[in-house]
Amino acid sequence: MIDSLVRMYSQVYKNVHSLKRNTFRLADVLIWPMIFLFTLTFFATYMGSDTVYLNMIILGMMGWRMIYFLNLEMVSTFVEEYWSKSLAHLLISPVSRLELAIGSAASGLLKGVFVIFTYVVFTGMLYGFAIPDWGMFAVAMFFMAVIGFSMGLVTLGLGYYWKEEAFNIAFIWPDVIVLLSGVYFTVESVYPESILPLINALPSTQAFNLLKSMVGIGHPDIPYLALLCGIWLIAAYLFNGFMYEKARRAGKLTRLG
Amino acid sequence: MGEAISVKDVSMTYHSGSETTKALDSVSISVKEGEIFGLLGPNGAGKTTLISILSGILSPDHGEAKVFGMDCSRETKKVQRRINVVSGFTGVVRSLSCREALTYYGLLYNVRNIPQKVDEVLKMTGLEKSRNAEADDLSSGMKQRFLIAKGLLNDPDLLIMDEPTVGLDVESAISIRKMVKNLRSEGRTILLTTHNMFEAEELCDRIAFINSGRIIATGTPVELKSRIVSKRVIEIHCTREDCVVGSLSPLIGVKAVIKSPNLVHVTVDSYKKMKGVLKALSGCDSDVFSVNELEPTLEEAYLQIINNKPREGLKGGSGGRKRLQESKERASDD
Repeated sequence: MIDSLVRMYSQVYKNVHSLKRNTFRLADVLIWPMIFLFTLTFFATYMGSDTVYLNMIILGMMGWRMIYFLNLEMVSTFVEEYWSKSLAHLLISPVSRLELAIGSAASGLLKGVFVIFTYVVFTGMLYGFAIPDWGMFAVAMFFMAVIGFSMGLVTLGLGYYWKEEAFNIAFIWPDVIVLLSGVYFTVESVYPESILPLINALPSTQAFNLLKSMVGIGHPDIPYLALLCGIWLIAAYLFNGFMYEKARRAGKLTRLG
Repeated sequence: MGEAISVKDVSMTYHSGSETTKALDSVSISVKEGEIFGLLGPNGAGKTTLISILSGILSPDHGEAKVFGMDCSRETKKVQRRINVVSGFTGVVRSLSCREALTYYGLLYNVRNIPQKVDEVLKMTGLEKSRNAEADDLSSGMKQRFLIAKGLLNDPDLLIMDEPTVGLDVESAISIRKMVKNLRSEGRTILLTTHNMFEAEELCDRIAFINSGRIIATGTPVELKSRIVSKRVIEIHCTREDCVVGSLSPLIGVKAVIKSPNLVHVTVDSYKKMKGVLKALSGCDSDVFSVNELEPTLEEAYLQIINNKPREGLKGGSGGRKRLQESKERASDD
């Protein structure tokens, strides 16, 4: 167990130390999230949004950042090793694919938590925003992390076989999920009724409903959210394993020569 | 002595669209513990595929590959704890110093007392002064040393070295060969692939020639060289080559006599003919400075066995055979 935790920690160690040596990468957590925050909140205030709507946007951005960082960090950890031509060293080591996934997700979690913290500080100063219910917020963020991790498992699975091509997917499909899940609006107000059952079956829709409910919008269904997250997690894990073996059999996992 | 590697009837075919490439075709090898085993073959022969299977990153279509009795496909993580790979073609993780990168690999391998072990392998590979340099910025030679340091971190019982001296200058290559010899003296098993025949001959206890996914020959360097010897060449340094040629040409068993300035090469069907050659030389009116048997090189053995070429058609060999070739060319110029 401890050996397993140490192998997971190896990914955090690598990411933290490479971040230290590569200051440009700090933009990932210091600059882009801020630009993103201010773009949306400035627009919302310009449009004369009320406090409730502004708070929903801020909470939505926090949730989305959590999903984004977990998914992206999992695949970027892998793809960076590929770009460095050092992937073979990683894959011939005793680290298992689950340890690799959890370790890199932990780095993403740290980044996500850091960005959410800066959001809390800046939105508090600028808009007087405060988390309405920290307990509920933590529960929502936990589910966001599970969703991000599940998405990362899928993207990582694609990465085992398609390598850098999968990196593009890592950027695209969180955006698609965000669009479908109604991060900044209620899904009922935008999507046709015929596709709502499908959209409501996304765990991210339910997770963002939970966040929205903290400002009085939407109706949370935590057991349903937990069930959907569980199904996604299991399906993503199985897909990840399937792709790993498929790549291993086809000789696409990595090359030594 | 136990068996470190056991590969039985392993086959592997790559598929790319409608094309298929048979990388390994019923390959079987056995490597004993403590042995340096060389795997030699041209590019695309299947060497990398075989070591990828042994490393657990590739599953064969057919057959069984075991390391220390553990199946590489089914017990991959157990195998990976006891092995490590040094590949001349891999890079190193970016944005980390040598020390940080080795610490990272130490964590992956659950190395105990990582700082001490990192210092130990840095010292062993002569990288102490570069400990804080970015591993990815090291020169080729230093990077190879770094990869060896990484390969030694977990004290592997089996070290797979895939062309560890590729692209290195002479001094760095010598230094790495010295390191490999030291590893053998520590009792580690080493599987070495190289295109450098001199290196293979110097380091390997046994060698397998692989071509088109099949093992063509296996044996010690001496055994492999002896397989191609059907004729022997004697090199004579003398003052009057015409006289020597005249004395030796009529002897029974002498297949060819080629002269060049102060040098005569005599091809005989057996070294048992040496006695007759020496006797004939004693009756010859020429000073003789030396008489040497020219041994075939491993490179010649490799080329002949891999390509199944006749010995006389060989070119580009090093050492004695190369000199003979040059002598022949000079003789024909004359």
